[in-house]
Amino acid sequence: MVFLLLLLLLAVAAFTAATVGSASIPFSDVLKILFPFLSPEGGVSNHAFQVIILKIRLPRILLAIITGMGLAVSGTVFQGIFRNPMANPYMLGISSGSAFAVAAGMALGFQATFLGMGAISISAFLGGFLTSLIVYFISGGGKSVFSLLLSGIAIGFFLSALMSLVMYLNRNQIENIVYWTMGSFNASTWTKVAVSAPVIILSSILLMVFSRDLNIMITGDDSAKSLGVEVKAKRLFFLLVSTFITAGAVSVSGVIGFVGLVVPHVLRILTGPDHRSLIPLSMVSGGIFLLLSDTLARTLLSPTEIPVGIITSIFGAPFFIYLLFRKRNIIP
Amino acid sequence: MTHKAVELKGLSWRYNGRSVLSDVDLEIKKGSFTGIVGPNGAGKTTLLKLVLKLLSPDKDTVFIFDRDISSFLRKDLAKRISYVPQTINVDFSFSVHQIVSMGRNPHSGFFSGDPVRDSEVVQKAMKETEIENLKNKDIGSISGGELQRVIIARALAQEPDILALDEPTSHLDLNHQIRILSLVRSLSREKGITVIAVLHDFNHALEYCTSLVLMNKGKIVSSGSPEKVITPQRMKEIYGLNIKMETNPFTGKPYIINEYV
Repeated sequence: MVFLLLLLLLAVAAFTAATVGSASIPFSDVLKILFPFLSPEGGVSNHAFQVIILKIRLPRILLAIITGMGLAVSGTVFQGIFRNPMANPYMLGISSGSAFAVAAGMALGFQATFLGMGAISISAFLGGFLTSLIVYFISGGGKSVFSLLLSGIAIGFFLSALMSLVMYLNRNQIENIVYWTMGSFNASTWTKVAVSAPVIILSSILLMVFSRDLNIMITGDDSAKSLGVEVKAKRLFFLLVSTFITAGAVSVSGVIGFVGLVVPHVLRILTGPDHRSLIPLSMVSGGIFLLLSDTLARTLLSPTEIPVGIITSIFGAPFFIYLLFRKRNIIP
Repeated sequence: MTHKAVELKGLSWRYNGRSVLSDVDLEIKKGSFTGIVGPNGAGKTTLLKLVLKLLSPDKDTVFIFDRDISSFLRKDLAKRISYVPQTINVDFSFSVHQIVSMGRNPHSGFFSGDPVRDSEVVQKAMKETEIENLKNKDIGSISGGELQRVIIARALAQEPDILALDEPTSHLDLNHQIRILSLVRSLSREKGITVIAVLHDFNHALEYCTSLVLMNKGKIVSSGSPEKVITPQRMKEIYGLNIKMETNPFTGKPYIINEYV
């Protein structure tokens, strides 16, 4: 029920987002462009509107939604695996791994394409995913969540330092690199949507299938084993799939913070900790949250754009603090 | 049908190069309430963890109902034996009912399982442990004694043949210690569940157990009926304390009085 309401909200938000921007396009025109069969008498006369909606805004809206979904789902799973409601999708060093790889790629003038994805996307994905694998093996194959956490922090710092070094040695690239790490959807394309959507949505469904095991793993390793869960294998599965999602999200949008932390956290407070409902609810809410953030990012200082990572933190953090205070009954 | 719930044959375990258990042989009778006692570091908890496959023992050293434990899938093992740890730490606000329901996990797969029966079994387990009134409470908001009941209810929801408890009363006051152990004893008697419990208090062990295993330094010193296992001479050897055996006027069971140093 809540899920359907959220889906409806997402749809409304998406249509509304399509109307706003440098050119304001009436809601009726947006509908006609998206569903031409609704107006057989001729559709929209303004060809520019059609291009703006179909070529620019729609892929951007969809990419923001999909990225938000992915970050929220993997944040939910990371919080479950780490048994910590403050965990986020970047715990295994994905953000610093991707950022380092992107910085190195830019500095070396890396040129490649794969499945229509550009060099930056490719290096971000590989950098993030490989870093997580290294963290996993350094932690002794995920022997405990504590060792995972520690090796994630260690490798994260190491790669951040390397990225700083790359930036220091290639000062002409600093602006590009910094801008990338703040996250943005201004380079959204249909190709990015077509590649990231199946990766993120199918992986999320896979995580939902096994979400009951994640509930049980919250009670501790020994406890979960005694209830019949193959803890080590399941932990690897959850980490692998959610890392895949995160790396996919980062590769199309840069490092966008806060979505993967705040969305599952808030949803857990509001709807309870059962991952069977929490994962799908976080998924849709993450889509809404990042879509709204990106819409603000491209309209607040229009025609200039603010990196969306700044928006998610500026609006997310105070809300988060409000919830923490509320939980401690400091404010109603 | 076999009369052995658990059998250990030459079971050894090393941790970081140090021997924790060496060449342990043991039979635990079906339907017994077996207590495992001994000083800290004797290997009691390690033994329990090996029986639960929380640690993976060598092939042909641990048998559950005559079947080698290494041949069990974890899910199948969880239908035969369930675990009651000292406590569980859950940082997320699961309800008592959700925690107890997790006990049904071994019985439900993707295409199998019976939700109606699951909810009946969970209901019954909560009734037997007298926690029905806590059903919707947050697991983080209940007392230590209540939490222990919830953990036992979850273990019962697994419908096990064997219940393995690791110092189940160590966080509880005297009243709750006795209530928990009495509950476990009555469950054992009524359902024929075999109970294996690591215990620290000798008087509890003498009172509740039908059989005792006394361990020291990774070996079994003695096993059998409680009054034969606990003797002043062994207690002096292992704990370095003089004890006297008396008879509890309330129950007629033996109990010990120890000297203080």
